[in-house]
Amino acid sequence: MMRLRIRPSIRAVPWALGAFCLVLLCACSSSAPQPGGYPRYPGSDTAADPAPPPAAPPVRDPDSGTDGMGIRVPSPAGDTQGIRFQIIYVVHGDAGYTYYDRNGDRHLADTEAVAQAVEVARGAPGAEVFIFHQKPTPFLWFFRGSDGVMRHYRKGKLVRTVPYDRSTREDDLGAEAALYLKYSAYPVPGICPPRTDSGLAMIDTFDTSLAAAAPGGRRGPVRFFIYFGHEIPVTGGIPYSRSRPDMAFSVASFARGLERFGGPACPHAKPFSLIVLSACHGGTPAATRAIAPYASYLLASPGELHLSYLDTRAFARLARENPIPFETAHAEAWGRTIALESFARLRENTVTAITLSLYDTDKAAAYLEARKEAWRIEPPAGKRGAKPAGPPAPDVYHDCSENPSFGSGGAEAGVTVYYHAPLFGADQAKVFHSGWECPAVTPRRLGSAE
Amino acid sequence: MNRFLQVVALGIFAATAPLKASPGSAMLEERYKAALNDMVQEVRNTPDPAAKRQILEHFITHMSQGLEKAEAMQSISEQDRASLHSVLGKFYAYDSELKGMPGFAPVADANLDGFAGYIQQGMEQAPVGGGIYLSGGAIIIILLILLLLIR
Repeated sequence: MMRLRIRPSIRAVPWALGAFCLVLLCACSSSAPQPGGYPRYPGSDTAADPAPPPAAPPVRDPDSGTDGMGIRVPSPAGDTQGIRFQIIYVVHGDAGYTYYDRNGDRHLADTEAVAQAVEVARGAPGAEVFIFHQKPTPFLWFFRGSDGVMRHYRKGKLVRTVPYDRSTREDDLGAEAALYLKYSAYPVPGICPPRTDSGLAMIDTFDTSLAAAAPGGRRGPVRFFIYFGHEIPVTGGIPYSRSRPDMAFSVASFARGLERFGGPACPHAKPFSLIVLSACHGGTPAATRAIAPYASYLLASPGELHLSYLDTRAFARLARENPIPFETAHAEAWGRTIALESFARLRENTVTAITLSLYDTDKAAAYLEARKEAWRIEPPAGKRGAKPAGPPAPDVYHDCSENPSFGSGGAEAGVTVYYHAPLFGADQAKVFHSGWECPAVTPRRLGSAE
Repeated sequence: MNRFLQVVALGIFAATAPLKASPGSAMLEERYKAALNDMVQEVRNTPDPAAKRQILEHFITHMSQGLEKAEAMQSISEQDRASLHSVLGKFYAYDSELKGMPGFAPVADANLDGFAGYIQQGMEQAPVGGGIYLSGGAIIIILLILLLLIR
């Protein structure tokens, strides 16, 4: 009878594989950020991340019925009464977001943006807040774990933390929107609401009696959308996410993402009351036009924006004030408050130009439509391998009012502009800004007076 | 048995797709920003205005040279070249302003610390590989050139 002989080295393999699997398991369970994993937001008096609510511990995916370790837990997300506001934060963290302050201390802009979002989520008891942090989590220090993490708050309590994947050819916020629609207390019906007698959209005449989504109408909470990241490219085909350089992201795909979250752009109702775009060059005519159908107001920076970002913490305070009904004027007032507080904070920290614009999107879109020729200018195409034409120019964008026939923008165009000139550079004496910046087709000559 | 284990091991590695070369560029970008911060801190800690100017000039000159070299490389794409061209324009402007060339108000001695911070914030807003768009391979090459030249 022949005996099966196993060499000692092979006998050790199952143990090695077992150990490897154990390490994999540990790495998996530690890949999601834990409560307390985000730092305090600079200037904040409160801790950034909450302790989980005692009755509703955060779970990785409550729909699975377990807490990720095989223990069944009750769904913590049943209480949706009294939610009047939905605030959706998308924070891009898959690129270089390091900056240094005046003292030489290092900061991570995306992590701080998440910290301020968490502060808003904790401080707004009448709100449901979704925070999507688009930052890959490494797995075993080398392999890809998740592409991002969603943190979901209801009435100030963290109810779930869900790692997710966003492996698509084009990032139109599809992964984030799917999670939002899955877990939202008021998923979007996707139908345009009927016009009211006063001509106002239902979303702007919200009151507590309309808390439940009604058939045929986009009734529900007042929605806000906030994006933190680098400049959103005007065209696709440009690497935006470091770990997924082939995934396209553009102003058009961002606008499609807004529709995924908020529903279609209806002729008399907009899915979002206010959109805050905390990124460089968010206030270009092209971006304003693309976003206008989805928001009553847009707060963005037409120029470059320092990585210390906009300060949206006022959302929590404003949500606590709880105006009934919430009207368009409230959206404008909230936008102004956030713009003013962000402007003040940026003035303390930065010496570069600060330009924030609050757009009444209907007026702004009409103004831009009437002046298409003044801003729709295609840059000249260069030959492959050729040196770019013209001398290097310090500014890729300039104030659109420098374009002939664009006009002066500003209040006439439905734009409230908060501008502070840089302490240095060619624009240090500039006192006026139209509220929009356009790509500079003809570079400004260096060393010559403007 | 050996072959089976090899296949299993390969399968595990294939199933968990490795992260792309991003850690390399991330590390270099971090190093680049740290070098920028070192320059700013050095300017602030130097009492003599002439020495401050020298530090700033040294940094701007080397950055410009590095960007010129990177821009001249045949292997980079047209898009990368255009991005580098705009960053190079920023450094030319910093140089013109520091030296008070025509069209620019010269930077006063008392404002040199602020000017160093202005360069830093300008680069952080449009960092190489961050706010301007460069392909992953180009970032690694360009940052290596820049870092070799800075020090």
